[in-house]
Amino acid sequence: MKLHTNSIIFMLLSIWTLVVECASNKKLLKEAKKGNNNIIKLTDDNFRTVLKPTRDSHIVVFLTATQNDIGCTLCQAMEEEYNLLAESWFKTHPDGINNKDTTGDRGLFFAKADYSDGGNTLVFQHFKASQVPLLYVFGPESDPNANINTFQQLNIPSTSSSGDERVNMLINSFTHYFELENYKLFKPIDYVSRTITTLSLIGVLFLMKKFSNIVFMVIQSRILWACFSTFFIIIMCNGYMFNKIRGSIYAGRSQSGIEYFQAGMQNQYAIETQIVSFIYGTLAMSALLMAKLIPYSYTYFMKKQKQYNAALSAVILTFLFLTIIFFFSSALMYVFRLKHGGYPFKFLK
Amino acid sequence: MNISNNTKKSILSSISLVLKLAIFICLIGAATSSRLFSVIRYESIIHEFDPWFNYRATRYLVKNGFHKFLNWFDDKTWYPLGRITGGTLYPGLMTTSGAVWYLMNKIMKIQVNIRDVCVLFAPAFSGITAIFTYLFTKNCYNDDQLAGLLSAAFIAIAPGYISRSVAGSYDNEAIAITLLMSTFYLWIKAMRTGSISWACSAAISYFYMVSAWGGYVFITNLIPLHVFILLLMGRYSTKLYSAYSVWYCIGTLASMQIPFVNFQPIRSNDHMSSLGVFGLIQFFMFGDSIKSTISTKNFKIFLKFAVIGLISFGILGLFVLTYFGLIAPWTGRFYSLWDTGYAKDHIPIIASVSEHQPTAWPSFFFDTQFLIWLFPCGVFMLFMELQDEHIFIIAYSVLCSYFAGVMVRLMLTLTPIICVCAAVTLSNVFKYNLRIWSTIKKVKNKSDNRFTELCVLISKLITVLSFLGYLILFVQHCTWVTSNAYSAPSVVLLSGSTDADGSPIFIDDFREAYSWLRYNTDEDAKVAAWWDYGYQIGGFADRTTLVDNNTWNNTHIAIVGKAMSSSEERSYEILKEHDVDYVLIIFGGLLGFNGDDLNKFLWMVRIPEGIWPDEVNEQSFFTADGQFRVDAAASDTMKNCLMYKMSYHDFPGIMGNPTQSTDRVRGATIDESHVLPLKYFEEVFTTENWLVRIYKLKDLDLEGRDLGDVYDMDNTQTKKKSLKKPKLEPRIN
Repeated sequence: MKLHTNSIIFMLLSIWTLVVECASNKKLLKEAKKGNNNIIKLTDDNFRTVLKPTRDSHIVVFLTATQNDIGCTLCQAMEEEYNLLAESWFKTHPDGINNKDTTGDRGLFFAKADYSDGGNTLVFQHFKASQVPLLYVFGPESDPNANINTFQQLNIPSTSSSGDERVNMLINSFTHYFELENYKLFKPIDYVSRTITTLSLIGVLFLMKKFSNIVFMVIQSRILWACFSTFFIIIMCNGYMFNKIRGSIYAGRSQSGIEYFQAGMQNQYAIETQIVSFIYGTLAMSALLMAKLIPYSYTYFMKKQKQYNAALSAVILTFLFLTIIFFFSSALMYVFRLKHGGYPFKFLK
Repeated sequence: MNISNNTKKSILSSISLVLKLAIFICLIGAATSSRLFSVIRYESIIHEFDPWFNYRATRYLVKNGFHKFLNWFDDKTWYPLGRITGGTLYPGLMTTSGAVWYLMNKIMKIQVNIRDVCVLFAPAFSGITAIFTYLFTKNCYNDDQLAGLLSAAFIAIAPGYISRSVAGSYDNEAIAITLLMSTFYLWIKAMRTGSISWACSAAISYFYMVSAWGGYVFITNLIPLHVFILLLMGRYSTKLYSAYSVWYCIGTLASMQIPFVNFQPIRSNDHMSSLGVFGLIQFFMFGDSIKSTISTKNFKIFLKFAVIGLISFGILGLFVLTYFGLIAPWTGRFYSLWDTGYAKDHIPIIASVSEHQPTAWPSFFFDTQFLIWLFPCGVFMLFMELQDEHIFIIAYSVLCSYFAGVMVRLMLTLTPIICVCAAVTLSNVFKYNLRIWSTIKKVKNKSDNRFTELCVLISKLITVLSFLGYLILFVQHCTWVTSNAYSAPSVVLLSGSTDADGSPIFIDDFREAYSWLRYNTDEDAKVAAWWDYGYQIGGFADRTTLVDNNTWNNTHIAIVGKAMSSSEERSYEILKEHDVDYVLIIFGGLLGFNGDDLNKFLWMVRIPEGIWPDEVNEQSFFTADGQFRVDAAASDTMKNCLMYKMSYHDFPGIMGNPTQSTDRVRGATIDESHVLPLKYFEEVFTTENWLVRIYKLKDLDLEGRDLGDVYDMDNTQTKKKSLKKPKLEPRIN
């Protein structure tokens, strides 16, 4: 008999908890539907109720400040990414719950507080946020007496990646740590951009057809091809692809100010490509003029019987180009010594 | 007067011939001798990793003959799968050095060790490369001897080429660059003359190239590209037709004779462009002959229909063939050239190879010094004349500079064309400025132009002298780079310090470990190590390996990676399943050697993660804030994995402090409490500087207990008695 009551109490209890848990998920879902992209908007009024135990799901909290005058570029970059993160999750899990059959009511919800929106100072105070962006996670909690201070900070992969890559990294770590299923990056098809592309393509084709003689002139212009190829070669030989593939940052920062050259043979800033391309370009141009312009000017002036001019141009041009080549190649070696400390050769400095 | 002029001319030409000969001898001397640093500093030894396989294969060839070599099934690698080595290698290198060895020993009766042939193979061939580069440049650039000689001199000492052809670097590239230049030279010759014999020679040279290096695909695409551009520019000629058709037919048929290449030339998409251009040029020929028989108006109609029909037919054919699987899908390596993000996302094995990394700008300067800025200038100059053969150089330059930017290893194919273009520039500079004698004569003549000519003379002299200065600096740069960067065999290391008598101290741990394996283990023992060391274990120690540098089976590599990154118990299971007896790891923590296994460790996680994402997870090897740490903060998965345990086994305590040691590579303090005991493996050998550590898998327990339990039980018992460290095996000196 006693056993019977026990089991009834147990059943009642379990039903009660079930109801409460379901309620917690429902409540969160309701809140989520209110915000944009299924993201719960945390304000001073609602954050305690949203984050209050008990709950059966993970809640990811994103603290950010997208205002321009705050100047948090990472926040602005992550704004879209966080939306994508939430959107991808709700695309496959419309009610926010992972998998009813295997993990029961456990799900994942997204919350956000943007300092720029105002009305959420208490939220930032609660998290003692002194810098943004921040990413926190609240785990499932069955004890109704637990407070809302038990959360963990998540690492934002900020340095090496951005865009879809970062979203994918976050998705992977969420999937792993929260043991989620079927969480994949979902990219909505942008019909507007597709239409614009198609229209502009048609427009360009039409214009090309109309001005076909100009187009042919451009295509057959040897000098254009020459300049294009030379330019292409110069940037390719300067680690342009390295910047593209590795996504190097533009320039670095050190104690004494901006750093233009990163030491080491295997890494570089994007600005290095530009500086060195400029050096190469100048050197190549000087060599070209050296070989072609000097003989040309000599014969030109001699034909016109202006010997004095011929002599002058020969001397001046030679010295001009030789000095340019000298200075720029010593600059090149100087720059290379910044990359490779042990390089023994130098002209100046 | 006339006769004396003639004799003068003949004397001059014979003098120039003698001079040219002297220059060539000097060039070959310079090319060979600048590559001998490593032999002088270390010894006559095969370098690095891949050369060890080539060397092993060459020995097999010399011992067993060509027929057996082609049918060689190697059961000592990729255990238990084995490798059909004869059918999966490019035999050009081995057969060539085998032939040289045969010629010397059997015909000329000069006793030469096959090892010495292999070691000195690359320097010898670099001399030949210089000669072919001379011929190529001369033929490509208006028969300009000066440009030819300059380019030959550049290629002889350019570090970009030396990097792969120092003595001991016995790799496919050593012979491939020579064949690349010879094929290009013969192609230009064939294209200019339209002669079938030249085209045949080009095809034969191409065949030789196919037999030697996988990079032959570059030629397979470059020559059709050249032809294609010429066709687009309306420069079709019967010469071009005969040259390309002959080259393509004979070259393709010949290349299919190589077992490894097999039917690829007509199936794989890498080769499709050459087939497409072959079809196109037939069409041009057909159109050309039609044009001469019908009226212009009719020809235009014909052309319109033919073009539309041809294009639609071509596209349809491509789709149908791909759909039915007759054309092989694009290979991953090829993809990663065009879509640079591809490899990173899809094929970790490619991304893990350092040769496949993009090139930062210092590498270009390092490898070619001032040639790098003469290079675009030379391309521009070629545009100013733009003859058919100049287009070849331009196409080569543009295409290859892109490839070299994407992959470090393709610097090698870019270097020859940099040398050629730079030589073109310099020859243009010198051509005008070296006419000093005529200017001097004019000055002497006391004409009214005297002042002008004097000025011109001075400026010419200064130009020549200053460029001579740059050339001298280039030579010094090349010598410095070769001596400092490219002459280390990487099997033997220099410690940097010297002995009491001033001789350098070598770090010879690799050979120490390999010879221990050779003399202390069973002949059929299986050694598990990360794939980088597979070829060396095979070559030095002659033991069976699971994986090696021929990364043909990703899953098998992943198995080894999984074993290294799993917990000890699981690793033991995996390794026992594969019959492994010993595990060899590289540990640089004591020496400060950067390229050790812990630094490569993330690849041992990523590669298996691609296959068993539920068993191996990269994230779990990082700390909570996403860092890769090995000290106290390391994650539990990290501390429990086999690689960590093996690397730091007994490591704390060897540097004075009884419980701690510092890992000199990662700058981390390793405490005794972090390093969990090894229960299923026992240390059998560790080299002098701890660079290589070898562990043996304990035998299964006789009473069928789990080895972990056995260890725990023994350990509690010994603790009761006294703490006794396991004895190390005596070392072999």
